[in-house]
Amino acid sequence: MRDVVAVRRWFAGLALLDQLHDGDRHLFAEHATWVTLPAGGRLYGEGERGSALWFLVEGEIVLGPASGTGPDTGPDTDGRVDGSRDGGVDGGLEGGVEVGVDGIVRRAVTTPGYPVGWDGLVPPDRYRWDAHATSRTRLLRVDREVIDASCRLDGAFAARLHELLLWLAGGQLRRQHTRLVTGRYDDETDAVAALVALRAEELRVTSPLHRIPGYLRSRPTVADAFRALEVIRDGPDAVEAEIAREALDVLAGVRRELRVYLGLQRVYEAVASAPPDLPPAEVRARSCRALVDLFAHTDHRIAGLDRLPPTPGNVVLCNHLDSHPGNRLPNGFSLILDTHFVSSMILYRTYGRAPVRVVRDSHWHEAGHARYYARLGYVMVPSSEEGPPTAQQRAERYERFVAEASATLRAGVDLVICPEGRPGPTAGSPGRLRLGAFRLAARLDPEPLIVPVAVANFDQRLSRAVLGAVVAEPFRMSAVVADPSDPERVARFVDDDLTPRYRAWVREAAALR
Amino acid sequence: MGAGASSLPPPSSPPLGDLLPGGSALPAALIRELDRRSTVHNVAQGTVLLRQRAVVDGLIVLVQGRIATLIDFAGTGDLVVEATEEPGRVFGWSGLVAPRRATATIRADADSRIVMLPLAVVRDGPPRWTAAVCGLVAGALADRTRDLQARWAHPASAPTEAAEPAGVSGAARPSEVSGPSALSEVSGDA
Repeated sequence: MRDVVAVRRWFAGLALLDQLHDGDRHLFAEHATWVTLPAGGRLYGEGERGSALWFLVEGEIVLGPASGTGPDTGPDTDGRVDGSRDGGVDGGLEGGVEVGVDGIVRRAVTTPGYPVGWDGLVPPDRYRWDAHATSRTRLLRVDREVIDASCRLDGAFAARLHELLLWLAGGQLRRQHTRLVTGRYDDETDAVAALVALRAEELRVTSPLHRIPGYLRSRPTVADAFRALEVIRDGPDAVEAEIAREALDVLAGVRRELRVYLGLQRVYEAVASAPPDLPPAEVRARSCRALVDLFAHTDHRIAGLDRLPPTPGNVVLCNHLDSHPGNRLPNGFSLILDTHFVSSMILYRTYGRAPVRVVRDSHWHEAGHARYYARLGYVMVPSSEEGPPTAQQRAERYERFVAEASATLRAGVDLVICPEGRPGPTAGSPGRLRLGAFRLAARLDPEPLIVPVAVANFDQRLSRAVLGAVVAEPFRMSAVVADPSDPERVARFVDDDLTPRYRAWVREAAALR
Repeated sequence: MGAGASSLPPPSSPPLGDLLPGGSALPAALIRELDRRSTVHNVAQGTVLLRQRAVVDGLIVLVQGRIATLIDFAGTGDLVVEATEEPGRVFGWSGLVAPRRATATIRADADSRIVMLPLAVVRDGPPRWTAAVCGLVAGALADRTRDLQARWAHPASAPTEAAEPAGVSGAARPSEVSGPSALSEVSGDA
């Protein structure tokens, strides 16, 4: 858009300005000048006199209270760009109202054509917020003097313009009210359904907004809900666009969960669809890298990394937590996040080597489970589905388990075991610890270190949880049990000494902030 | 508006130019006309002044007392999202823009005195009157939004208006819906 004709066409297509006449839009187009901001660039500051009305063309403007420490790169008004620099806004912004890590409420404007700085044109004629670009942003600027002169000349134009400004102000206040109310819903899908119902009288019966709650209720179509909402937000119907903006505000946490869910799908495919000739160690490494990317979208804390032994080749214990049903993949398989977190974010990131886990065999109906674990070279143990083994079968399986586990540790690879055998909730975790892992460690030569890792909150919705992990002090069985070959003494140590301490570590992990 | 008995003395109000923040900047003829056609009411606690989704034909200005703003959301009922004792606070802005229906319910949360300004004065007057009133109200809404955001960011400094019960069954206390707890879930990525 380098000439007035193109700018005029752009203004003419803005649904947000439906209330204005063609002549009003032409007036804006004729007097608009280009403004380009680099990332972090400042458009105006809180308390400054309203000097212009801007229309966002591309990029993102964040409005928030004056921080006093924000970047101060001013706009270029001739189309040049200064080069990028870091934005001065804390915390993630999803395209709507959001809270940064400092607790300050900010609002991101991303809708092309959305007027920015309108609050400086109404009494007391001063901007209420600071405005910064978070990425390279282009706007069209209409000078205040032009607007004031036109209002003086044409009272009807003044009325239309100020009705528009009131509509913008009212919409902003409504969004703030909506956030207050929808924050009370446990489920954002219910909140969006209620939001659409609230405005149903204003919507076409064929409005695509009516389909959004349905999309949101099924994990695989949540991404479709966001795509649809973004199309509606940028579409020609001003009311639908406003509701879509409000819905996107409400769904900020769901979008984070969606990123994690898409990450889970990528992790699964990185493993299950790896080239057939790729060795298991490399598949494990790929999986860990994808998991590190996935957990970057979560809020997590790890304590005690300095307690990890200097080298891998240890038995790493992990309490086992339920998987939130929202993480179930379309094929029915649930990637259990706790052990994957320990594998990737603690062990792989520390040692650069993906661990081997001890995993049960797949049940007959778990094709997704089988396809995933077949590629990872893990140590597999029988599942309960196989029924009680004979004494001979039990002995054979155990010897095989010891041989595979021993080979793993000798190769300098960590072995991750969940001694509970089955998952449970964070509260009261771990449940009863079985003795296999401890007996294994006791009989190996050289005797490996046992590293307990306590995890918490992986059973909760990821958008609401702080995932916590505590690495406890490593030990050797020979150091804590006088005769590690005595099953009675091992059981006493595990039940009476280790389990209560483990539960305390889990509570510590749950409290990490 | 079903006004009940109020404990306040007989109704009177300061001139609108003084009562409305920034009102002195309104055209003098508009102020005169609004003063002439406005009516002052004492309303009892619990009186609903404006019902969400109803057609709005007047602005309501708080003179004295306490007024709550409620939103009716499916599954939650009416929830208080704001309450104020600020004289000059204007309600009914949605009557100035299409579709001219209330976006919230407005209710007296204490015995209150209000001024009713018929929107016909603005609609039937010159367009500049519409521009002036819309601009004035838009500025007030922007200030309210900023104040609400500040309350989320600094809940400890919430004004006294958010500390008392709403006084109607099924309605939440303002403090229950104006704090930052609902948003804390999305803050602070590690």
